[in-house]
Amino acid sequence: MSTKVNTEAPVPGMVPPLNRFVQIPGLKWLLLLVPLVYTAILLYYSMASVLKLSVYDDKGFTMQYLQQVFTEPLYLKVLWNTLKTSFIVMLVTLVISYPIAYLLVVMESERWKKVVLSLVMITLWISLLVRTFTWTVILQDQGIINKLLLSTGLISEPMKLMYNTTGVVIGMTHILIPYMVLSLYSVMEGIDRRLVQAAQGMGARPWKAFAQIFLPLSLPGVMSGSLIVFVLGIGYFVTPALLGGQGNMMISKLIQENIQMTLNWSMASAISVVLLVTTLILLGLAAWVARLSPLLKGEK
Amino acid sequence: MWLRLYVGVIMVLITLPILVLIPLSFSSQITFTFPPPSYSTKWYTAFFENSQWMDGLWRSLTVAVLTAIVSTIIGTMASMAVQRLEFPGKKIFTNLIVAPMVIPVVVVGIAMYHTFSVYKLTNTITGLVLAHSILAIPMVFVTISASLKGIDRNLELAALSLGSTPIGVFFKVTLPLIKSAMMASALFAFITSLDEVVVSIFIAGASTKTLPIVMWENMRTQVDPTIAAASTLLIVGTILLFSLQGLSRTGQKTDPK
Repeated sequence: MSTKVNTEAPVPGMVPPLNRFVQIPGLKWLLLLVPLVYTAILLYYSMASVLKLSVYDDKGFTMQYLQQVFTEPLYLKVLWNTLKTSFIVMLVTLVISYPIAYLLVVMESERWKKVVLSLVMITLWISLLVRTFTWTVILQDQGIINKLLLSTGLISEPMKLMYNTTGVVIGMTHILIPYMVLSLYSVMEGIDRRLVQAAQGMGARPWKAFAQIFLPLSLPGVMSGSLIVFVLGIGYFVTPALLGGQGNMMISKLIQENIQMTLNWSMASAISVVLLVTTLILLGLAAWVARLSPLLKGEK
Repeated sequence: MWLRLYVGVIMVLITLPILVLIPLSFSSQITFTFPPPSYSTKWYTAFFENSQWMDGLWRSLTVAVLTAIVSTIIGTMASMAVQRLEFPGKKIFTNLIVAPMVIPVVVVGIAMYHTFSVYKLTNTITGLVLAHSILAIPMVFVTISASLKGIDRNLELAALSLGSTPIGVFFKVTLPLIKSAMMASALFAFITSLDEVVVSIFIAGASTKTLPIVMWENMRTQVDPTIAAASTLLIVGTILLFSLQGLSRTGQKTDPK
């Protein structure tokens, strides 16, 4: 990135402009240090001091809490439930979002493209709390879905759509779709569609051209989009807390309960470490996939 | 053809659930029956007459404005540093700045709660602004960086070679060029703060409840349609802000590059 700026310096023989900029040493330090110190103190110092509690208590160094996370049935159940729910959400989101992103790429009408993108973006910007709340209204026993199904006679008593994994999956899918669509779209946009046309020109059926050319080229987007949605999923708090029940608690809620109900900082910290490490591994994986993809590597 | 139909149905399914709250906010009933048997505006009256809701709203707006200012300044500085300076560890710097986008919010929440209680920053507006700005800076950073990458470097170079100081170049050339990106990122920061629940759950105290905290508590205890009215106001507000931002975007496009 930095070298690029240099190569772009146009008129030969002119004073290299970057040096002029750096000539004021104070400016450089100001631009660099203010943001760095601000985030470092507020975020990284705070995180370090709270995460330290996972291995240090009044008696000194201990692995007791981390061990507890991986051995006690309650914690294992929450871990398993979080991974399971996020995985289902990831799959459902992918299946729903792929056609949207694909249509965005192949659509000729700029106007409709803008409409679809705006709808996706607006849903992203509308309050998370509001989007979750609306599902509690829709999914409850006397909610719209149950009423509709009851009145058509398809079911004879209300379905349990809330306070279980179904509710959490529905709510989280709705909330995470924009992230998936945007991830897929950014990769699909870079695919040279002349390749698909060439395949068709040589006699491939449209479906086959899609499956053999477009789909494999879009896989990096599928991978990174899925990883991002999965990562966001395992860290979610609001939606599982409102749409889930006691039986399908997720990690974030467990952390919050340990702090606000039982005041068990060490335990909360140990669970946070597990959550954070999982997140970092998955993000590293996503970055690796993105780097492997020739499309993203060749980014302008 | 099938694809269009399919995506059309999905788009309706994505949009419709959000709109359900609007008629409910005009319900005359205390229960969430849909469609409402008859209509009234009493939940809006309830919202505007209840000090708990109104205080929360004003507090949220104050915090959001302050967050937008702080994070736009700091985020812009960070992107200037990355886009215009040479320094070792640029990649690490970038990662440290954007990380709050992906670090689980609960972890950010308990970390700040832990530190802020030592420095008596919990239950204060300052604490909320500091916490929210950490979550908003990455958005500003990403938006401004994209804009800085996109502008014509030659304009800055020309100004420099004509004898302007780097600071002068920033205020007279760069700043006007990234102005709309700064507006957009301030808006992102504003909305991020306005909607922040998780960190606020830890940091806000009894006397600094923001609107989302009031909503959150209502959702968990005594759900009454006032919350539908509050939600509708938020939906309408967001759509308005979004279209304003869209308008400024299209206005920007007509500018010569």
